Amino acid sequence: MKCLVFLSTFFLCAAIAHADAVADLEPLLQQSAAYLDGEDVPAAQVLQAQRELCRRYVGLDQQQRDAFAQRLGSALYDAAPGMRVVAGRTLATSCDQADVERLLAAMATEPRQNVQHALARVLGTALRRLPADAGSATRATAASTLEQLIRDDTTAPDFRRAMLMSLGNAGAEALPALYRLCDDPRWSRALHWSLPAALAGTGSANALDELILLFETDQAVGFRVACIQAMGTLLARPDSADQTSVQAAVGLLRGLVLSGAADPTLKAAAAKACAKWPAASQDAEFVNAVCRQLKQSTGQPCKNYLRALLYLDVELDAETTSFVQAIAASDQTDPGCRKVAMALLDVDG
Amino acid sequence: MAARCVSGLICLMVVLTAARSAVADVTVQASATGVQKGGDITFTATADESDPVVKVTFTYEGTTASDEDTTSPYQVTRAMDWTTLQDLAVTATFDFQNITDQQGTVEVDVVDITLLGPATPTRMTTACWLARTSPTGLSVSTWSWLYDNDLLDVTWDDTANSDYLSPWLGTVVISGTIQTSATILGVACTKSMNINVKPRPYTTWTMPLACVEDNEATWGLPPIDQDISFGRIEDRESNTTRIIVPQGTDENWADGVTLSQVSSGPNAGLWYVRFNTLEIDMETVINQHIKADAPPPDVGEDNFFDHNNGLYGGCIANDMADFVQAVKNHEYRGTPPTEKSLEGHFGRIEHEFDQMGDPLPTIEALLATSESALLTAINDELGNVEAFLWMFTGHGAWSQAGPNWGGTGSLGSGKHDRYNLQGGYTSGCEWGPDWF
Repeated sequence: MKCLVFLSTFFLCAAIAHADAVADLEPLLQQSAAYLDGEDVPAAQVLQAQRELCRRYVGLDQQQRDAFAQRLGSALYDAAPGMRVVAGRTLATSCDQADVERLLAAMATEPRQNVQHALARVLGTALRRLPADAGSATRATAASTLEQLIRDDTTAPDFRRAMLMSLGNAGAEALPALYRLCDDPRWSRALHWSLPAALAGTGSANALDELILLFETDQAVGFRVACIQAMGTLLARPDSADQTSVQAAVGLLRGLVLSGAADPTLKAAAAKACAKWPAASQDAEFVNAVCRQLKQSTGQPCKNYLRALLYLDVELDAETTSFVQAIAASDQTDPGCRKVAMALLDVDG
Repeated sequence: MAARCVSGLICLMVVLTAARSAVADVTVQASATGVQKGGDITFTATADESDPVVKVTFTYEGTTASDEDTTSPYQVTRAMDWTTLQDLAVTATFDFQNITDQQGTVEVDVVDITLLGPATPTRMTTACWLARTSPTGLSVSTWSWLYDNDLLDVTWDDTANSDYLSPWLGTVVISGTIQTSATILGVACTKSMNINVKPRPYTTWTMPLACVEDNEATWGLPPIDQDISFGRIEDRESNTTRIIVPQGTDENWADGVTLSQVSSGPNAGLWYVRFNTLEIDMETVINQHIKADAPPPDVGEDNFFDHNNGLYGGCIANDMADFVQAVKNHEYRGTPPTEKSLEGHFGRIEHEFDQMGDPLPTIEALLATSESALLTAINDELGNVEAFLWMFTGHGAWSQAGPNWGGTGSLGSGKHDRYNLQGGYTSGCEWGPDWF
């Protein structure tokens, strides 16, 4: 009898504790959403509430997390847009296949364009955080759905662009859909400037070939910079397995840096991207070229050469050090560039 | 005394008693041979004398303080908090009723640890805490150190400096309590200090916000249908809606932070953000085909600008220059361009950034026990900030008010009743410019 009473008490206490942990999150959820829904709450306080909400949600045990995920799942269809977005963002903090499916369904059926757009970003976060070993089929399904929505004539242009970025976050499973969009003149035209970042988002070195092709299709400097940046993102990955693609991309970027004729903006962007390739620091000719061109540059190119040297992590010669010191000390240097120079010099100030 | 001698016998006894010399043997005992400064020791005094005791007074070397006891056992407990001294003398003075005062003495060691070092160091500076014996010069075989904090307690036994002092130094990143322990003259001593690490006050921990206007001369497709945007705000290099950069892939800011691990000292093992190069570096892009000198959609036709600018039949007759400027202002800081304006995308980013507060002070203070955990914490923090920033500034219903933001009265101060891009997808002038 005593044992029975003890066990009953134990389970009752456990149930209360379980309910409390979940119930404690509700005020944080309400507070985070209230700001987005136009209530007069200090923004910094709301950010703190959102931070705390995500922290506690991740800390829940599986049973509690499932219970609150149900609550968040229903909030995705809440009348207030802020609640939908905050619920989605919290779900994406620690998500499984069911959460991705919830987000996908909520985004696809959301009537308001701005909320759709926000949920597309959240979906991207969820896809990226989906465990690698368990999410392949979910990512492929999500990629297929996103491709259909992108191709839908009734989809608004900005939403289409947001979904393209989410598609990139589906990883290697997104590559077939992205290749199809790149090959379709209508979509390669409409989504042109956003394609490089989406390809880089896949994190797959296989996308390098497509990026090289894209680079050749357009002379616009801004577009080419985006292609170069996307290549750099992929070259930085230690698992860049496709050596042919990697060598081709490195060859293109290195050629731009060493070329006398290339556009200065492109050269500097290429230096930054190539510097992310793990083997770049062993290429003395490349390192010397970066140091030399840094001293002839100003503005955005200068900042990119500084970033290149930061990523290369090589010891600077005295002349380059002196030049970087002058940049850091100058009143004329813009704050973003100065920060990179300071980091390169390994000093704070 | 003579007046009290009512009989010769009694008088003789009194005289004899008063004349007795001091012969009592006074003993003073301490509850310990030594104590850490500030600790209590109980002193007990005894005397092999039958003469009644009026009081016993305890006095201590190095202070004028004293204690009295009038009842046996004559005992006091005293906090030894005024000095440190090897062989500090404690004296008990017996005040007898009939005989002269008698004294006894005991010696105790009052020792301590002197802990020197900064109580409010700046994060990432090298700080040194020094422990030494007090009195100085006493031998210690092992100095035991502890840095107690919320993430990773660190301990160190310094046997190499088996001397009267021990230094513990290293890069400091986290607030906590530093504590050192040592046995000095057989007395176990401990000393601690609360350490409050201050954030780095440098400009590198402020997020630069920049936006270059109309930055891509060749951006945009001919405005032939509703899929075509007139303008956009985006990250300058990736052409994405990312706001805080460098961001290699979405919500990964590894390229913008240099993470380091403290190699030795009180904070050994902790990961911190050594430097950051994070910034907001955006651009607005304006469709090349809406500008005055844009090519026409077909040979022999007017371009978009002239098509709508025509005095007779143009939807925005003779006012297209203002229209293009209004598109620019919508993407940037409203009309007239005003910092933190709610009427332009970049103004809204500035406004909301100001409302939420710069995330870099939070990033500056982030710490973890592994590199991956620290990067995750950074990404989570910046991810929340960027998501909130974007939701307010990127698009739509939260943004409908204001002359540069769509809805009736959009695009251009003083031109409010003519342009409405939000609904302007039909041909005809009631919704603004005419698409081809």
